[in-house]
Amino acid sequence: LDVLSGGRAWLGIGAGHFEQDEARGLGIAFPPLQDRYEMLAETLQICLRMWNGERGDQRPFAGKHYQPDRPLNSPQSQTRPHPPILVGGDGEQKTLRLVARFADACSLRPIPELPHKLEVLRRHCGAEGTDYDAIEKTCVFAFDAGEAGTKAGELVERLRRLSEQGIQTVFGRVAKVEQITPLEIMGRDVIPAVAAL
Amino acid sequence: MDQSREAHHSAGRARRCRSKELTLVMQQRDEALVGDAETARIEEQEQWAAGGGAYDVVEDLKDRAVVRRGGDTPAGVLVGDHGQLRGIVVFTLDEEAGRGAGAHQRRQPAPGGRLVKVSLQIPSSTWPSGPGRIGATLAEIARTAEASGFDSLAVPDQLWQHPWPGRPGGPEREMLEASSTLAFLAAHTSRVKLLTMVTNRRFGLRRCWPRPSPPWTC
Repeated sequence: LDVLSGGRAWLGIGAGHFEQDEARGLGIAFPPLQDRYEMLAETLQICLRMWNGERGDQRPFAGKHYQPDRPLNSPQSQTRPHPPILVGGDGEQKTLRLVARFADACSLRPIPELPHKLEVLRRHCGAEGTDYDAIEKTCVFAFDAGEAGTKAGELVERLRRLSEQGIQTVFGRVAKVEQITPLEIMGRDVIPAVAAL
Repeated sequence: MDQSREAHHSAGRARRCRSKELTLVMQQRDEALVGDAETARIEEQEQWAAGGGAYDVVEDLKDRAVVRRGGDTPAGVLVGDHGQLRGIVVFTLDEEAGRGAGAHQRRQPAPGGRLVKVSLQIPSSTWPSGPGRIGATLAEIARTAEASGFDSLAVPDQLWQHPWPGRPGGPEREMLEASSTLAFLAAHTSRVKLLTMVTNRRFGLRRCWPRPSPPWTC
């Protein structure tokens, strides 16, 4: 995707939470949470190896869950050193530690505990020796600018509050996106205003 | 177009200007001030700027510049030679110009103010036009989102659809496979970032949890 899109791909990845029924329904393995965290950590290490150098690290990786003999990657990602890694979730013990260790971006929720989550992430960064400020703080959201943009001011205000808490990017769905107009309202009444916060 | 530039001429003084290969596309933001959307070369903008328009570069990223000048007024986007969005521009009248100041009350930027990027999640493709129109609709969503200034497009990495607050959902509803969807979105866009986001579901379902499975009975 990164090659085909001219370097626009991100890796958004998480341990998974609600796929259990889907996995059962389709016959896909869905290991216990502890295993999924381990698999996530190993996956990230393997990805970084494959993005390393001209065609990947190519040295055997001996993980508990994955053992690729030769992490070869050709063509190499266009984004160097590698596409940004977003690790989703705000679990304080494991997920945010993985964010601190491996990720270029976190993905949090707009909840009252948000400042606390960021503080936990900062502590993990300290322990892992990584740069907290270099991690992009993102948050999930739902954009509702109202019919004809009547609620745009309110929406911008909510985004401003998130910005003040340290959020740099918001990922949100737009209701009735298929009607296209709601996107145009966002482009007209919200995005320029938010860019100028 | 002339009307718009005239309006800008009365606005103040130019401080800085971004690279000349950029084209400025104005979006209608304050009808009295801008009129209809217009396209003008940045060189021409420099001319009006020399005569009165004022703006500052507040965020100079590698491939774009975001520009603003306090208060509030029309906003535009900087577009590169190949039509890609290069940044968002917000223009403002000087207060003494007597217009625009009260039109939209944008606050003055706080010291160390941050840029907030807005990204679009496309959590499902259950649309009234039905499965046969998903591709065409998705392409239009992607193109419009890019033109509207969204920073990235994110799709969930799941095969069964999960419900969202306020709308029906469930495994029988349409859910596209993520990698092929992102490749499709890549082909219909030229600037936006592309990614899967697996966490959106947790956000939506938090208030339903814990519940007896399956979760979409919430």
